[in-house]
Amino acid sequence: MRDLADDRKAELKRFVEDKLLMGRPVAADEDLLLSGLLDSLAVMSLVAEVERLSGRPVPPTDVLVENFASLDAIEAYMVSRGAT
Amino acid sequence: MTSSISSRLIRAAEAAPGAEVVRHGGAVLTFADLVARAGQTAGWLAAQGVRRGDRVAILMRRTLMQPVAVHGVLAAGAAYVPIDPAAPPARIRAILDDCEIEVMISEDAHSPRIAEAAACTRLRAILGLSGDIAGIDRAGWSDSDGIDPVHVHTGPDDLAYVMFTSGSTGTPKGMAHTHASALAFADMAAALCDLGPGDRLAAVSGLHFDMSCMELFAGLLHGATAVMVPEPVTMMPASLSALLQTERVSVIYTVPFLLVRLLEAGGIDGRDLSALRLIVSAGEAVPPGVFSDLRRHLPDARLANFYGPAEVNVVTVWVAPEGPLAFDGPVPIGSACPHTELLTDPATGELLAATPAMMRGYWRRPDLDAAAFVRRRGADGGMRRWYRTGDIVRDEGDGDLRLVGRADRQVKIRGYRVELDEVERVLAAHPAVSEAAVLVAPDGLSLRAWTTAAPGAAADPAELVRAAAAILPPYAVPSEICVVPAMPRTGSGKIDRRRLMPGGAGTDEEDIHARPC
Repeated sequence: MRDLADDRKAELKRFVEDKLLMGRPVAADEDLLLSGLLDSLAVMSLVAEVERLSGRPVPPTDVLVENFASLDAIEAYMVSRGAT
Repeated sequence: MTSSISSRLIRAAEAAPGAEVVRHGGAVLTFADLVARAGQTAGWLAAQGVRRGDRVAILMRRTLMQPVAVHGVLAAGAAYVPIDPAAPPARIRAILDDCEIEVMISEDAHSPRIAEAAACTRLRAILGLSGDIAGIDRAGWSDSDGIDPVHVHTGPDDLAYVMFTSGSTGTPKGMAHTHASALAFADMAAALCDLGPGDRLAAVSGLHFDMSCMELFAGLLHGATAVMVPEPVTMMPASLSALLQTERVSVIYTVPFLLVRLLEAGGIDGRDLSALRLIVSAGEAVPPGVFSDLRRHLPDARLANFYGPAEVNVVTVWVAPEGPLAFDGPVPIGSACPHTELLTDPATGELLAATPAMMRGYWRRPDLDAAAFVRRRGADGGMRRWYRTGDIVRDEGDGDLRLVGRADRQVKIRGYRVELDEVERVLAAHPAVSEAAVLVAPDGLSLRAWTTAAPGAAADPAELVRAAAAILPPYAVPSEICVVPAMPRTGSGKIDRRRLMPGGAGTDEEDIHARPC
């Protein structure tokens, strides 16, 4: 049985790979920020996508490196915000 | 004598050897550490055959070791050529070739990306300087190897760095600065910003961006500390404001984009930024509202706007008056910096500048020099070289200049210079493309492109974006590419770019074929 979290993770991974990285595959624990994969504009799109997927705004104070450094970190952040 | 950057660094270090001058994460370099490490780096470079006047590439993020690399190359008598770590391999290769680079400094001497870029170039040695103080051993060299420090004598006319920017012909062009021009900027900027011991400058610019000269030269040579801000932190406003607070940063010199992000995201709300005494914006026009918002949030911080193409560093300055600010237009660029002469071409309104901070010239491009420089008389009657900025300015009678446009098709994307002609040439060079037109997107933060397909070819927008990203730096890659059946034309048959953007001048029903997808 697939659950919502798996769908959401897959959708986020697709968004990052297709929209932000032009088809480059990315591992769940890969550092998106340090390796220079994403620039600041891409980060803005990423935050907007997280808002869309979780159905709630990301407060400015949550736009932190630790919450957006990797797909795993983003998922953990969404779960901590009550996403299921 | 103020003959070279290196001799000035040594003199500053002798005055305060124990002073902390570089900070990164929890690590610190003192002046004595910096000079010693730079000397060892120069020793390694000399052992590799690097000589006075050679070029050494630096491909590094903002780490503790980045200033060591810069001052190490200069101590070896060579000039550094900074390379954007995010640049695609083809662009890195073009720069390595253009500067005939044989030796590079990077964080990782064994990076596959660098190896790919360096294939078929003259590069034969890479020094790996990793992020911490014990890290100078990646290329098989550590302190215990006893490499003697080297400090090669250089003079004011020696080359200090070659920095590459977008070129309208489709290849990047290098701006060659000497020790004299770098020091002229450093001393002027330090005076304007009143930099000295105790100051902490946030280093938020890439080394390939001329704004990094503020912390590496203006700051360090005057005893101020460079706080190296990791790249991920500059992308996350709340993390950046936390760092500004905990590191007690006193001066930040950055592009308006970063200031807008800090304000937009509420990133400075609730932070104690009482140490931040000066915020300087540069790199592109400051949008209305940014300075008034900053003044509201940080009433005690001085606000200034610096202006100048990288060819001349900084040539005008505007300091915001005290008290609440209100703007209904862009922030002025102000008036001439010390030792700087300005004149406005009466026919075109183009700003020309003469300054000791002017580059020697474009790297091996006398054709570009001929177009960029003119010889004219200065205020004292003497003939001198003036740089044509390409910026159209207006003085509204209050003595402060304002930017009103460009004489060419250069634009700024998040502070980075982009020649739209270069992007169009790159797109049009794709076999599936016949013609390409590129404009700045309405949000001002990215580019949008329109292409027509070559006869018999099917142009796939995603493939065109990938192809552009293999050649252009990330900020110059259009975020959206639309394949249209035909370009709108002016009466004379040229592409009518104004009719491409929806809502732009001349948009009407017959333009529907050129609307973005």
